[in-house]
Amino acid sequence: MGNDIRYQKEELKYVVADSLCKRLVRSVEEKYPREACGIILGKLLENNTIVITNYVSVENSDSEFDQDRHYTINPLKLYSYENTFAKDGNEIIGFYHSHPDAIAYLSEEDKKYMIPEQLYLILEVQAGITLHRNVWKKSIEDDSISRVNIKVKGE
Amino acid sequence: MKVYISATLRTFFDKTAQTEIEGKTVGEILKGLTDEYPESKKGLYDDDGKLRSFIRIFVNDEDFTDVSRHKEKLSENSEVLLLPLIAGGKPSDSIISDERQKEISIDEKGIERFNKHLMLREISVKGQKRIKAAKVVVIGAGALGSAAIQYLAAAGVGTIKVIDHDKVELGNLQSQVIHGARDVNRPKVASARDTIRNIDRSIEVIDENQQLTAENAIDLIDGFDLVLDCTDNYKARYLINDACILAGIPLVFASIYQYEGLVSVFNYKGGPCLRCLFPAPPSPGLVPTCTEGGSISPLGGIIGSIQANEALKLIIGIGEHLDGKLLTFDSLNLKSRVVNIDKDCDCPICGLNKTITEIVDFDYEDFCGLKEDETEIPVEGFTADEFAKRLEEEVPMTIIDVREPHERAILRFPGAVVIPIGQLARRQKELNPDIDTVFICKEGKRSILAINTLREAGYEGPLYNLKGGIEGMKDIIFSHEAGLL
Repeated sequence: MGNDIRYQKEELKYVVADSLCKRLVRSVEEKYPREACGIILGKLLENNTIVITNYVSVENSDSEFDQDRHYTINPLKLYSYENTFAKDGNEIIGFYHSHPDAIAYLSEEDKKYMIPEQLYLILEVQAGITLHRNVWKKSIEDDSISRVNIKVKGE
Repeated sequence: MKVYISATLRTFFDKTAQTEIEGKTVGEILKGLTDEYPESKKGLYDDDGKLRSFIRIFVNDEDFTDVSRHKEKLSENSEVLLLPLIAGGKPSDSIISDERQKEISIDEKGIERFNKHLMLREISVKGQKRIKAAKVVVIGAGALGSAAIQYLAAAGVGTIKVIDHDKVELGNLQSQVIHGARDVNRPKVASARDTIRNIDRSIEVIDENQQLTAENAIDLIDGFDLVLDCTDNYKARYLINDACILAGIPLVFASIYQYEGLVSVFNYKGGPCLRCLFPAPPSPGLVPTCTEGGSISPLGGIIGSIQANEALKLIIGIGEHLDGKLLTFDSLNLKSRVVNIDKDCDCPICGLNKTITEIVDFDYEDFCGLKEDETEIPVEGFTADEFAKRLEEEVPMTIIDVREPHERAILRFPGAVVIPIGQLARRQKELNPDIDTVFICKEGKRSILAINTLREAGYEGPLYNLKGGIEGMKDIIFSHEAGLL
């Protein structure tokens, strides 16, 4: 399984390919005006760097009336994905979801469900176009939440 | 029993993916897990000892998270899954918090009554609950308030406070449609209360038959979510603006005059306020109030309805708001514009260096020029009776009428010379400094301005103001044909 990402005591660095970003953004915009959601996968490299290798779009299991302002990923669905990821050598790094016509900041609802040490990518999608992205992480030490910088490499 | 731990939660279990824990129920297994991995308690439970929101426990495919199932005996070959619930939602733009919204219930009658709201995707049940949870103050039960109050009530706002110190007059019925002919001489708030109750008895109505002052303003609006300014004078408007900023309550502002209206939202998310837009009111007498200037009947209804609409959008948390913007509406030419308002960093009440921190310390009378300036030379004048006597006795004097053409069309003052205030300085030669010159207008305010203008232009002859204006002469009966009122 290799070094598990979550147990690095030093600060982790994150990097992602630009092309992957673009694909994720397009996939999210397709779901507008509903909230898109999914899993972010990655691998730990040397130098405490995590490279984001892929994303998996997951069905928003909320009722269709709520999907424009809320998302839920069915836990059993996530369970079924976990085994496939493990086989490819990928780890679950975090999750992404969109805020249709709202800012890319954590809502109270978002904060309630944050798992410590997982990345949470939020995309602000206004009228079908992604305007801003922010990535957040809750600390396992004290539950404090901070913004995470992801380096985008042109590729 | 086999326990599978989701990859996302292994942080709390020393990287363990799968383990065997002794126990026949979920409760026993959770105890076993936290005994073996003491650090996991912090991850699984909150400070109140409840399982954290993102923790889900499945036994095979069944959800066993709820505490009521933690004592159920599990079959021998069960697999317990410790999984996360990944969920969230976009931030609500509403001024009513989620907690308050969740406390509201809507019964069957409410579903029938508000069916047209519930059908709208942007409103639906959550939005209607926010409306019912909302507490709104409407200051002024006149032309603007008539529409605003009725639509807020119809929409289902749970608590509405109406503040107005006036009684209904016959002239109000031309545009203040919340009142009827039977309400003449009744307090406006009593009439408004009856109308609200007639729309929906379940609405909590608080009527305040008193004038808003610097002493009571903050107490009257404290604890409410939103204020609507439906007043008709500058002093009240600045007072309401300042009180809202100091109390931290957003304000939906509107005003009407003749055929035009303005709407804006002040003090919302740190946006501009009335003082950012209009740092000071115009000099008294320069711009007639609605009472003096008139307004076309539906105008208050149009603009007041827009106010109610803005209020509802803020409560539900949808649409574009008029914060940092001013809607101007011209009903005569059917033109409307939305212009941007910049926040003024030097604003004395919401800027960077606030100089107004207590409204009781601010002199609104002086600010709006309603106080007589002690350094000014006092303007002499005649009361209605004194003026009538001079007319009767045919005392030689020049009468100057400074009213607007449409006012003169309603009621002429024969024998008066018509000179607009703006022309006084250059037409002063038409006056005779050897006899008294008396200035008349509708209420006796613009005539004071006229006298001061003429003095500043250097005229030295005797000038008098008709105190109370032509309005004050209504009840005087003349003995001869010089009488006209």
